Amino acid sequence: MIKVQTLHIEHFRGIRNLRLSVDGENLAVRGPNGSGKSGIVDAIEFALTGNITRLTGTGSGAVSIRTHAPHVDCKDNPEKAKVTLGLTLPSGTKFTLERNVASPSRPTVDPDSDETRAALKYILTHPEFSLSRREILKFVLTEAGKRAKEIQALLKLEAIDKNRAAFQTASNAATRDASSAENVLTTARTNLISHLKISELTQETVLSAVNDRRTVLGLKTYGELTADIKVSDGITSESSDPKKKIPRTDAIAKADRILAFVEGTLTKETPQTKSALDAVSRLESQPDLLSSLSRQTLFETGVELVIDSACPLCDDEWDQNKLLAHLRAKIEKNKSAVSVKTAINTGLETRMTLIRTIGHELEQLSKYATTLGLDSDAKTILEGQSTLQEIEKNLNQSIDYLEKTKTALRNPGTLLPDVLAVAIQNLKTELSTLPDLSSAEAAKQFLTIADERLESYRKAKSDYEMHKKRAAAAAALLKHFTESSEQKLSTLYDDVESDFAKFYRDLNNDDEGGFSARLEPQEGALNFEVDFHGRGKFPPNAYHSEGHQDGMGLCLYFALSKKLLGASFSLCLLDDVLMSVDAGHRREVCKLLRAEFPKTQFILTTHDEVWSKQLTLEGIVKGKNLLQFRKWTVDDGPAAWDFGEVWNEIETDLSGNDVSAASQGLRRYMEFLMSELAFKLRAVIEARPGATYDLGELMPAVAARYKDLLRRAKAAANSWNQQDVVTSVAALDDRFGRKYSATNAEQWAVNAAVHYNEWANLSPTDFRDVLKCFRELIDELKCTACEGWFYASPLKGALDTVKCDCGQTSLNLKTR
Amino acid sequence: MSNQESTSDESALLRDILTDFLERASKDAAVPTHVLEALQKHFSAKKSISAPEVKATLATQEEVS
Repeated sequence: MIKVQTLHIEHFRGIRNLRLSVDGENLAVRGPNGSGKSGIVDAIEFALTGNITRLTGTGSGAVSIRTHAPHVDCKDNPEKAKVTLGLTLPSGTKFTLERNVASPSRPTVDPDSDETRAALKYILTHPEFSLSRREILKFVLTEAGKRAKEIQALLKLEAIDKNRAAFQTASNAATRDASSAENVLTTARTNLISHLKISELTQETVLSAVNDRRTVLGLKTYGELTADIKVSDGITSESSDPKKKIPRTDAIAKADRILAFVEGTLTKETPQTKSALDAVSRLESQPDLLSSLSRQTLFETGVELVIDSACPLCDDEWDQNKLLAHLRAKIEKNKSAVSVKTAINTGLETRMTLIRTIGHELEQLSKYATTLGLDSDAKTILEGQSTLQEIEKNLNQSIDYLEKTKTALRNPGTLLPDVLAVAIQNLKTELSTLPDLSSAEAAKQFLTIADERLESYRKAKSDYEMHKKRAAAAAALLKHFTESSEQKLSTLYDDVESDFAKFYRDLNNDDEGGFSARLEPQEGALNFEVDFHGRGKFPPNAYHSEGHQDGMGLCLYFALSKKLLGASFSLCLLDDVLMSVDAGHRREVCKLLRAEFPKTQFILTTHDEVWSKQLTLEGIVKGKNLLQFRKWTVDDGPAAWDFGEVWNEIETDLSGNDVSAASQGLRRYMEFLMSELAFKLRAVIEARPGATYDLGELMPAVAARYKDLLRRAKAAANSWNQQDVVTSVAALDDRFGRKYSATNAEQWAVNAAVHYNEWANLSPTDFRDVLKCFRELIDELKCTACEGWFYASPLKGALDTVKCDCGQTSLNLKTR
Repeated sequence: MSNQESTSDESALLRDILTDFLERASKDAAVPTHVLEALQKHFSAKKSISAPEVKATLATQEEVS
């Protein structure tokens, strides 16, 4: 896969103009906070993908790439903000990639070939090569459901979760449909039992009730109740007077039941209605709960609607996976609210059955009232039925109707208008004036109504059976998909788990050599537990320190990347990822990078000087690829520790007679340089916990070390009888000694008054003399050919050489 | 790098899961034959399915039973 050779950043983030040549090798960028380090990581990510995770991720709010990726002074000229990368592919193909903020989706690729386009397309599908500490930690610290989504997104496994969610949603919907169908069946059964006046619904009880009436009419009786039988079959003559069709006794019984319903004597408190009332009270006392619940249906509907890559209403493109993850997180968060809703619905369901039955009876009584000429009462009764239908409909959105829900749970009859009871009473009075039907007429009516109710019951039963089967099938599909995906994912996660634990053991072999971990997919979540010193497995943030958690995040990311990318894990941008890890463990990180990912190009940023030196010391980053920023200004962007640039700044200060600024500049630069040379020459400095060394400590130590190295070089040359080398080293030693004396540094320890702190009090002319001395001194510590600083080699262990990068200077330290 | 296979061809994993899923479903009496056939047809064309599409495959059972 791709490796970065060169980098040119223009007017991008905090960077004005920066060119780097890294030759496909690791790069470390060190600098204090706000020095522009992360701008380099952002630039590479932007060039490769057109995106900057830091500007578009969670919590980025109103920040956007187009407006905020350009340098603040170029925010209105995004076309000026651009990044150009020189890249290579494993085939050896070299190409350049240029992308500007004005048109981030249209990079310029040169040469623009199938191979280079394919490489870019690949990296677009794997933007996880660039991660910050915050992103890495989310794999470790997030809750199980979200972790599964984050890791599945990294492993490109969203389709698995999407499919599982689809089966889950379909199963939930099928279960709800089956439940509704069961309620309809219950109502139909109740109506049928009520009409037939039987205690239980069996073929025998129905046949008995039906055959009794058919015997009265002299019709043949049935021995068995098949699906095609009409129990009113054979009835021929019907009375011409519609009033005679009214079943007087049955109608009066219905009227009495409705009056009892209105008075509240028909409803009793049950455990379900009591729980439901408690749940309503919770909703009333917690407005936030009510608010989130009211949006739950919206979220659930949203999940079902997000099936394409664009909004079905406005056709604007959206990030489907991101939106689905967002909605599912909301649904997950609302789980406690949903349990409240379930309790309310369960309580309401017992009332719904009664409301539906009463509604059906009101409809019938309205017809009787019309037949009896009680038009006004008929209208009132029909309105009562409409009211119940409206109540039923509203209660399905129970959370919006808390008051009516409470009333429905306690006594739904009071929801009906008072005039209904009057109308029912009027009807009852009129019904009582009707003559009792003859037994033959009553039998006819009984069988006609029985037919209607039986048909309703049969249809409801058929619907219920269908929905029940559908729900069972949907549940089975969900179960099998979940089992299949969990089994396959377990295998995948076993590999990741094994690599993760090994990497972590490598990092912490001093005290956690027996470390193990468990990554376990479970119903769409991913449980992650780690061993804590053999005391059992716990969530990673339960007992481990922040530094260990940082290490875990990095190890898990490496294990996932290894599984995901294999040999294609060729580029990795890590932005300040190990800030909580101590120096000892960071050294182990260096070893891990070298041992496990020797072919991966790492581009790392850090504010930590020790970590950047460790990267050099352990050979992860070559000296020339350690970029050290010293300051940042909004006008010029980051400034590296560049010899010529620092000197120019000091000269500018002196030209303006600002000796104070010039002396501060010299001191800061000399402190940086002497710190670097102390490291490179392996100078001996008194160790102090968390020490920051000043020039007065660093410079004498470097000078003493350099003179010691020259002394060893002379001794070695003498042992090998190389008199010419002895002579040239002696000349170096003599020259260095004179230059060093000229700086007065030897006096610093003797006479505190003669000190670099006094530079600020000098005249510009006198300070120029000081400046000249220091320039001449440091010239003695670098190669005249390559201008690289001398360094002792190797950087640890027994010394054998003092040399420069080009090899012109190479002083042997080993005696014969 | 170890010899572990990369999942860069992530659809291979999903394909494995779908094959195993359909195999398990085919042995379950709760899944009607025509639902299974509808799912097989769907997953031979694409690897992902939405809730309305699952619902549609479930609804096929009445037409044939």
